[in-house]
Amino acid sequence: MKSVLLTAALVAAATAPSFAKTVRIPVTRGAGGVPIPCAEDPLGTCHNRWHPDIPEVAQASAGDTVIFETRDAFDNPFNRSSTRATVAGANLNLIHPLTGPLHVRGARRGDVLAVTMIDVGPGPDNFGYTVAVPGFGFLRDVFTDPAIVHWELGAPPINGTRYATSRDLPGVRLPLHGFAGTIGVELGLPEIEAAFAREEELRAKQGFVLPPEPTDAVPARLCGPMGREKDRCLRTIPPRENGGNTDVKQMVKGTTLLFPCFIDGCGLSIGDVHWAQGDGEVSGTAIEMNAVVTVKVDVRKHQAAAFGNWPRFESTVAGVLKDLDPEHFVATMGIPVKPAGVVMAPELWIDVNSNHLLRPLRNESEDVTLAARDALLKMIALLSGPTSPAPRPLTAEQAYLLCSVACDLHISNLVDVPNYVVSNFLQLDVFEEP
Amino acid sequence: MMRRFVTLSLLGVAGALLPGHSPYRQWYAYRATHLVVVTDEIRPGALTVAAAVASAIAARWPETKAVPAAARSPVEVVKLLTSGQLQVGLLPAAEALEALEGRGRFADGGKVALRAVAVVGGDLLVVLESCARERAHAIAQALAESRGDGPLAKKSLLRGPAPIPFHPGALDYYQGATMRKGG
Repeated sequence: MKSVLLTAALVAAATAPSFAKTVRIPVTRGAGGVPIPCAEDPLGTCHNRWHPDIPEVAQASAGDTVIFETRDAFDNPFNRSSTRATVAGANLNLIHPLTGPLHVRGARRGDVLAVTMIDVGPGPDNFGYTVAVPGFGFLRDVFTDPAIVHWELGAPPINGTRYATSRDLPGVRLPLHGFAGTIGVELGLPEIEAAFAREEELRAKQGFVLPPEPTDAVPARLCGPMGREKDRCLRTIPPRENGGNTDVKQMVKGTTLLFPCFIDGCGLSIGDVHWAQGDGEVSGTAIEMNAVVTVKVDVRKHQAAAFGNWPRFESTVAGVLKDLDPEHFVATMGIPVKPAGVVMAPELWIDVNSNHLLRPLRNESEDVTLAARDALLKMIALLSGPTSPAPRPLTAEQAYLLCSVACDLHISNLVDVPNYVVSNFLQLDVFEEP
Repeated sequence: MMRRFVTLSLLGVAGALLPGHSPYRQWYAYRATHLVVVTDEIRPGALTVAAAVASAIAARWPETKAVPAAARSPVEVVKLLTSGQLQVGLLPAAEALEALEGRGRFADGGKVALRAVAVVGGDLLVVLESCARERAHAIAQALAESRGDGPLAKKSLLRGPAPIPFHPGALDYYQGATMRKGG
């Protein structure tokens, strides 16, 4: 109920000035209300790379409310009939289709664009999914098989709350805590060059960097195989100075996201919307959905330098994050330990570049990533073991996917050398009453 | 040693060495844990055929953990191959020819150097021309030596004719098999 009241208050606040208007950026929908693929949309409101020359698709003024219709993170290849085989055949070059860019009148390079989240909800198909794609995800070296959980995004609210449920995770339900996994503004040409250079430097050292990929890039005319900027249209997977794929679950309605503007008009785009997500999004996906996102845009003149040209987010609305707090929970704790001979996937590049320093160790020093892995593996063991709090023990794969949408990895200390602690919280409320 | 060599070849080591826009090799390292036989989800039964092909490969080369996969369309299958994301596709013969010649639905992507590894009913099992010779050979061998009544039952049809060229590695196997039979 509180959620409904908050939405009403935010909508009222957003539409208060009589001169403000509402702008809608639509997508073309096919059977069942599912958006057609980004590259095929005659409306041309979709792109899946970052570049300042991507043409604007709509304009708004400071104070306006803007409704973005969005595709899901993979460009909607999955449905209620999808199987592991569909996940194995996913085309990762399509990630992430974004709706935009929106030109905000009066915004100039050096300003800050303030984007207040008003409402986030699913598209008309009320379908969501969580997948593990081989080669991606925090435990990609442990879970190498494709997997999918299908979610029904609950239609009628119960006491103001909408729940997602899944035939693949019986007894689990997750309330709507919607946010945009990817939301950001266009980088300017200097920022594109800087990001490209540093990422290439890392790629040369075997860091997990995805370079510009012209195949399936949209807009093809600019970023595709024959596009003049095909080698500078950046992939959307890493978050950067422009925000982008930050996957911060706290960016819910009531929060205001602040982006430095690198081009005139800023060029705001939104996609990859999540019904719910755990802090960490460990399998690589949350509850992914096509969505309708309502925001209010404003401009803070000349403030980008004061922000250090990096994004922030804030809220002055009391209690916007309260729904995310667990009432009942169980938590595991991890420290940077591992079996000798194992190098977790995220640190392979460090191991290679340090003449295989890490491989023989059983304890690493001040390593939050390894501590997070330890806490996650312990939670998976708990959920799939004899003392599981789930209505029935889960498989390790089910536990991994549940953690991706419902477990919150928190840094607990960064001082107790060499063993920093990461805790992994699971809200017990996700399990329905028997 | 030979078995290990063939297995490595099947499992996409070549993928990590792809030129041009190859993503970071770790992506391949884990994605290539399985040899994926990708077809489209549009045609009823196509996934069943892909599954039979994958089963035959996995039976002969268990290390490959070969699995079937379904992409949105034949165009998507070709894109998955040309972008180096996956290495083995199952396409209708007519569409494989269109992709080779860069026409029809494949006009936007230009000509694609597809090569046949086997003819399976009305479909072609295809790889890129750049596919390692040993990999194509091993796949052709796995299909030809498979057992069962499914789509792979008629072994004599595997070697064609096909509307696109065969991969040299597959030809190596088929010609060698003919010689072995003749000898």
